Amino acid sequence: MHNIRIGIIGVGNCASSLVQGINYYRHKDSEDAIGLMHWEIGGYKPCDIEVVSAFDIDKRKVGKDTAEAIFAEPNCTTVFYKDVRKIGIRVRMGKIMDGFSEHMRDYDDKYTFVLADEPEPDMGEVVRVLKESGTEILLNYLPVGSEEATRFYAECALEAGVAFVNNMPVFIASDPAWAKRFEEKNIPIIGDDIKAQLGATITHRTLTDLFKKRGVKLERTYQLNTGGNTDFLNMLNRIRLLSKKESKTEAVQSVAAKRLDDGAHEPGVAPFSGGFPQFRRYCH
Amino acid sequence: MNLELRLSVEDSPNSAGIVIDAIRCGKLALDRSEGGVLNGPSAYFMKHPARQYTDDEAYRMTEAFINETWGKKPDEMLDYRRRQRQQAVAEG
Ligand SMILES: NC(=O)c1ccc[n+]([C@@H]2O[C@H](COP(=O)([O-])OP(=O)(O)OC[C@H]3O[C@@H](n4cnc5c(N)ncnc54)[C@H](O)[C@@H]3O)[C@@H](O)[C@H]2O)c1
Repeated sequence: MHNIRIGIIGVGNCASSLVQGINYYRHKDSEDAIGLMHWEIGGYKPCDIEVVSAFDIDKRKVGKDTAEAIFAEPNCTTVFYKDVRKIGIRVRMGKIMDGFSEHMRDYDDKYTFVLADEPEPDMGEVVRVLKESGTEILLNYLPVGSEEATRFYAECALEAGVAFVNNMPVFIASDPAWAKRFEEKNIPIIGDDIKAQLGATITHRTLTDLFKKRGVKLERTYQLNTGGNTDFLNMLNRIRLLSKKESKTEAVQSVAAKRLDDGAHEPGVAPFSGGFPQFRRYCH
Repeated sequence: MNLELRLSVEDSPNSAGIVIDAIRCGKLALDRSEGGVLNGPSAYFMKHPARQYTDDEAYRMTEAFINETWGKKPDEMLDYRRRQRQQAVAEG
């Protein structure tokens, strides 16, 4: 049984935690592993995952070994495992498209994306890299609102015959037309928009479900998210937020005893930063 | 009744373990030549799956997906569990 070979689109904070996590679990066993459903799934342990391709568009990441790029600015997530093994997999230049929002230029480099000036690949090039690297599963970690770019990389996955895990809220697995294309090619897809281990969504859903089970009538509910990383900076462009809002709203509506009227459930993203620790998220 | 809850978390590590589980489910599907949307894992790991289930249901579906008992009839499942136990005993 060989390792599970993954490709990463967007070497941001989530990818950093993932790669650190894979390395962290190397020194753990089933007794003290936290954060997982099972230590072993189908014979695969967390440390059986290996990054074999990675794409980004930030000049502080492109060209670097993935093990270094995950710690490059503007990434600001906690470093819980710093001795990530260099793996010889350089981050390649990605196709920018709408992955970069113009308002991101207005902020200090420390907080925002800084575009690399490498030539952008076309689909053929990305597909070639996926195939030659032996990528089996492609993870999408693009910024919220990257509609075109997500479709581009999903198309690359289909073309290369690579499974797709869509961690962000551009609807691919939940779009019947896209789902059909993955089915026709017999390529697995999991999506859309990752639900954290214990974050606002699962907490909100669990409480909503509890209300239903205990016969409590839910009249109004809201969720306010405040944070200070690039994910939140990117979401200051409200147009980009629409799909995130739909994803969060549906996640709660779907477990309510009765669908709430429009406006009776509001997920909100409050302005970036404002003295909050850079990486932390507060939900009310 | 009025409930206010304040949750403070760090986002990115909070998703990493879930992605590690999702990757391994994706790999299982590849090993079994299963394609298309993986409904159980999507409902359990993702906020916006093709079809929403409660988290309890989604958890059960994902467990069944992992153990290859999804879609099997109850007697087939019993048989499957029996075989698994026998195998575990044989392997010590
Ligand atoms: N718990 C969580 O953190 C969580 C939960 C659900 C969804 N998500 C989603 O996951 C995604 C990633 O989150 P993050 O915190 O890592 O974001 P991030 O801003 O830290 O990372 C995004 C990365 O994508 C890169 N990028 C932008 N355009 C690109 C392109 N066209 N091609 C290749 N790379 C490109 C950026 O340079 C950056 O490195 C976001 O959409 C977020 O909403 C995160």
